[in-house]
Amino acid sequence: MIIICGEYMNPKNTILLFFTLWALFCGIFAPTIDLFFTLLLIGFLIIIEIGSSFLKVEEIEKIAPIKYFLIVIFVFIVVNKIRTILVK
Amino acid sequence: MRYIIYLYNYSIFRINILYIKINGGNIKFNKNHNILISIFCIFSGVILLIYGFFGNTISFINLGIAIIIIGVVIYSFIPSNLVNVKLLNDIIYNNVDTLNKFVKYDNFKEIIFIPPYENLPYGGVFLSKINNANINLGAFDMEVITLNQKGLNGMLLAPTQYYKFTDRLINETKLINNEYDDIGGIEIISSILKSNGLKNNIEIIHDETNVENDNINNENRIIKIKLSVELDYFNEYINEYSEYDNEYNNLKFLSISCPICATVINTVAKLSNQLILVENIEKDEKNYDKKNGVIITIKKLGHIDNYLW
Repeated sequence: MIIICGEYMNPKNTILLFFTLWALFCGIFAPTIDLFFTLLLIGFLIIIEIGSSFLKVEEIEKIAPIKYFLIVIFVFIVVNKIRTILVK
Repeated sequence: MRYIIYLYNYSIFRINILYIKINGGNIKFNKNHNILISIFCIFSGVILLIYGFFGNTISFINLGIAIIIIGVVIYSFIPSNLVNVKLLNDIIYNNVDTLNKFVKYDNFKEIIFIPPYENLPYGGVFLSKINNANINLGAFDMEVITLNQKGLNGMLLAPTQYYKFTDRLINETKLINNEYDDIGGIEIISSILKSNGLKNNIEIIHDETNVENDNINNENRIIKIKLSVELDYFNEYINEYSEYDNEYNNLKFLSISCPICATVINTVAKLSNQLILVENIEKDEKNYDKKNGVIITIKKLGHIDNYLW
């Protein structure tokens, strides 16, 4: 829990804060888009897994499309990598 | 850590914290600000993405995508005002059981819905122990529980069941201001209930046999309402009690215990300003999903002024 101005921060906001920091960190320092998406997916999954106990089922269901979107992109990246290795 | 807190204090997230206020135990979360922040994030993310794409800068492309995803996550955290149907079912299950026993074993023969008037500002339900009760609204009050007079023997439930829910629906849709009749009111309320996942279907059948003219607010007008409700106990009760066929084992008790049925009858009572007698509630055998449908037959007993003196 983060304490701001003597108050406990809302867990939802904590989740959002960590996710934002991670996403911005990856966005600035990742040299390629592939690596950025992979790191974003890893961070997203970890943060949602840890914070899921603070979220309602409804909210987790709403976030699910983002997760699937990132996983689909990750699959594309992996397939592309395998293809480049096989072509070489 | 200090920098993170500093950043937090002056970042967009601070707006959220400012708008979470605890007023008398209720946490208020400002919805519109979340929407504004998410739109702002998505918009700025798209601009960064386009800028990075044309400038061929990987960092800007990454940042653009990151901010768009953050915007979507913020949007998905907007709290909903809706209550889960399963949760509602669990909360009111006990209430339904109690009311069911109360109506069944105390030999109540008639259930009459009374619209709000001076003595009962929130309306009421009169459970009569005798048929053709001689209603005198002057005898009713918020303090009255049981009545034992000649022609008026029974129990008064005031305020009426689920009146708050009915009031909210009527006020939200501004039904009274728009001067809808009761049937139009039910149709509008049914669409709200449907959008909230509380019922499948609602259909109103006008019984034309005893109508002298086309005036829908006629006295002694009988209306049949076909209704199906998405609550587990509702289905359970219908299947359990429709097998019996005697005076007390009918489904009349659902008119006060089932929130949807009570709301529909309350709406008719309130919008027509007439006393409503629940004539019968039976299982709807021809329902399209053949499981949880009922036909509510109600009778308009007349305008409230006729019963005041």
